[in-house]
Amino acid sequence: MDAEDEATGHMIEEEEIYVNGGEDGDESKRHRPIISGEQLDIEAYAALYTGRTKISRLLFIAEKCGNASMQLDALRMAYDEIKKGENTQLFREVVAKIDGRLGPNYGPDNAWADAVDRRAELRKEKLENELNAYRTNLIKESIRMGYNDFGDFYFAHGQLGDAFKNYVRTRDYCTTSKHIVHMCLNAILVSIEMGQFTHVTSYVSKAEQSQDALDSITIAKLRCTAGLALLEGKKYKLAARKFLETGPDLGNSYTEVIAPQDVATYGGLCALASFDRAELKSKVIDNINFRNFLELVPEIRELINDFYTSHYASCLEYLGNLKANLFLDIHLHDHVETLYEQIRNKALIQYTHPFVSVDLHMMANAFNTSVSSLEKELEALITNNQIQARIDSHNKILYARHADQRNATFQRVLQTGCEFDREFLETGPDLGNSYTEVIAPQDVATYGGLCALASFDRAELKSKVIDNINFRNFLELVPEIRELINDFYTSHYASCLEYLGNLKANLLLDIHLHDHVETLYEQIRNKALIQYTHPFVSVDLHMMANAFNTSVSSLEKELEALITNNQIQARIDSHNKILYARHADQRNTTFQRVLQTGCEFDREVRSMLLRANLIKHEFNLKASRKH
Amino acid sequence: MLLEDPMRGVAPMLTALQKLQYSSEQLTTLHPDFLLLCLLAKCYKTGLSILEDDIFEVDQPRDFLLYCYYGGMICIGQKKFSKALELLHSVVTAPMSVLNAIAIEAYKKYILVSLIHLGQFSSSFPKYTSSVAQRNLKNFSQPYLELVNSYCTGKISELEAFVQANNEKFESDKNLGLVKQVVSSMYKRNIQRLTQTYLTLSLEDIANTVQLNSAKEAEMHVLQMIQDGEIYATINQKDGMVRFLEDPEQYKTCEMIELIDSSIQRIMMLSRKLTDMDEQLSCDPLYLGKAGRERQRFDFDDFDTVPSKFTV
Repeated sequence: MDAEDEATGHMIEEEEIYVNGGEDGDESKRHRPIISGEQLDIEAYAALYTGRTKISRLLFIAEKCGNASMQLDALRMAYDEIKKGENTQLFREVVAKIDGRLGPNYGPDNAWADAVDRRAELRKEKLENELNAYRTNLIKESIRMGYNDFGDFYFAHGQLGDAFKNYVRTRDYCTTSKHIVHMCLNAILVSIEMGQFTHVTSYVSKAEQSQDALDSITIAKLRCTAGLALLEGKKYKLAARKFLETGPDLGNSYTEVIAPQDVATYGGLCALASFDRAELKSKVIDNINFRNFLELVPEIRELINDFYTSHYASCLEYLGNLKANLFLDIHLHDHVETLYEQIRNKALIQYTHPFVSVDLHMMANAFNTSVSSLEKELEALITNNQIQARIDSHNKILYARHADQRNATFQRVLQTGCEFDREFLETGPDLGNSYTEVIAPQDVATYGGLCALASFDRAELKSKVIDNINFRNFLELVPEIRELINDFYTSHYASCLEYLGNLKANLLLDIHLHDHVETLYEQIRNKALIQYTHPFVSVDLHMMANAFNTSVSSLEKELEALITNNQIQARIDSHNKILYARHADQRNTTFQRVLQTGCEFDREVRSMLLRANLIKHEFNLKASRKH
Repeated sequence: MLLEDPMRGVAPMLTALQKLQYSSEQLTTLHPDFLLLCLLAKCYKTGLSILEDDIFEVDQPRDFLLYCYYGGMICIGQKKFSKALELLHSVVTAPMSVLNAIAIEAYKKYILVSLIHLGQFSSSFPKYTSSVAQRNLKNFSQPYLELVNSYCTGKISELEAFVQANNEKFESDKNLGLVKQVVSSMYKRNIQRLTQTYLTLSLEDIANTVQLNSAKEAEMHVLQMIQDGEIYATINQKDGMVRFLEDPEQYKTCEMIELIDSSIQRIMMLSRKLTDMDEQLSCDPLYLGKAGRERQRFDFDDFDTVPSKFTV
């Protein structure tokens, strides 16, 4: 008993509020300290929902939670719930899962099951007879009611497909828009249970077309479900918008699908992951309607406010605590990772945005992480061009950077050079083995992959090679090439170059490739070097030599060559063995060019005037005595 | 002049010149003689003062060529290589129907000065060079063109070997001094290339890359270049390191703005001259005659809407 009390005592925020409802719970929550990870109170959670979704959720929790006691709790409650209904199929499943662990009370109750089945048979016959009678009489309203009843019957018995079919059949017999709305809501309910969210979207739009029959509660319901469908479709921004538009009158009227706490959670997290700052403020923080929902889940409210006011450590801490429970949510669990990643990235980007230089130690403190892992994250963001900055790895400082057009132009020029790899990459998978008198599909993969690696820039490499489904079939035939391209993209240069080294001997024996192996390898190596140095303001050459598995002096020579060819904008501090990036100072170079152009023009014009003058005076040197 | 005391002749010549010119843009017969005097007297500065004026009016062709040639030599003596380059360029590209010695000598010096000043030499002539010059000048300056080739390889040792081999030829052309300057400019060019790649470099490394004999020599070269303003660097003698800096010019000062402003003014003036000349030329009967001759007359094209000046 004590343990249980303590457990409920620790059960802060969500759970208690759910149980108590509104106001009295609220006051005490205002200055709550940040919670430590605790378990979901299953009873309180399940109390939010009714009907079939309650059972599904409980089963989901039982499946996903790692904790045996939680699992048994969930299964127990599911059993009780199912017994109240008529779904024998689900009953048998739950019994199998319980496996006798909960004692004899929760064992297979065949008597009950059989009784329910018999009753179901009788009811079904009765409904069929009634429906046939109505059909012969051609009374539209009764036929509609008949089909509806059938749909309800099948739904209660867990035959969702049949339920859906029957609900949809009522469409032909709907006379008023209210009927249509009713039909849509039923169809939506069944689709959600079946997990077919495309139907949900179509029926929501259908229902929204009959404006007059919609009261505010129905509108709220429709918005929620639309948001849910978008969430499943990973369209987080649109989903957030839908959830935020849900009116507060939703209240507890849609508990067979979604609880208001869920609206707040889903809406809040999706908004945080996808909205920019202005939208976050106007649509979430200043949104009076949504505020009612947020009151139900104060952590989400706190966490959004912390994000907006740049208290990233506490924001990320709230997120971390919520994570375990969110994984148990039936709709959200697939998306938790993605949403969290997006929120973290946005926090990082927002942190660095107003600064010209950021000390990575302070930033690591603010984000409660180590400097090296922070550096890796920032590196990934910079390489994907989400932050315009460069890292001074030596002093651990992040410097903001202007877009270097010149570099970008050089890279584009290099990539326009290699033509025939594009043709290879566009080869459909149907090439197969049909052209073996010229080329094998493995060759297509090898040639295409190597040329692409040597000449494409990062964006093109990703879109045309890594994400290219057709080409993937070819790459499967030569897994080293696939590995090596992935390594290159994810900056594991040592392993990438090792693969290349291994392949080299064989490639020199290929009749078409042997002339080009050296050049391609050189280009790939150069691109690797360039890509390595790209996000940094300063790079320690020892670390770089390790990453590339070469000695510092040979690395220095290679870098020198690249710098002289203007492929890297940097300079080497040979004393401390550090590579410093060099900004192209646009303003100064422009001034220099201007002055230079002026001088040249000056010179050219003067000499031209002189010559014109000479010609005009018919200046022509005849052969005369030498001086 | 004949008294073998050229110095005495400089001042009176200068006054005579100034009195003879009716505008500062005119070249008189006295100009080349004056410059010759300055060369012999080694008072380059006075010569320079005359060269400052731009010349647009020329009477005698030979005067012009000599003027430019001597002018170029004076500028070389004063190390004003860009102006020398201009003058020598004028000689080489002047309209001529017959090859003359002045042009040949000027071309040789032009190659050398271009190597010293620009670090490169393009052996293609601009379009307006006379065909005579284009065909023949190269034949007379073979050793110099080979010098260009070995310069471009960037290896000091090769360059020096080549110079040694052709010592007499250069000597006879009286260009040996210039050639020696070319060799020393090679070192400078290499050091400048290093500033683009390195931020800090030890003197030892500089000596090795540039193929100097010791770090001390490298230090002296770098020091000289810093003083001449050819590179921006600081030498740390304790570590034996040289740290290369960026060009501190920020283009924000008043002087820079004045410089830009004066350039703009000058160029505007030149443009006006150019337009005037263009107008004059288009009224010139000779030109009209030549251009008109190439038009087809009384053709059914005459009734075309396209203006006839576009028909070839």
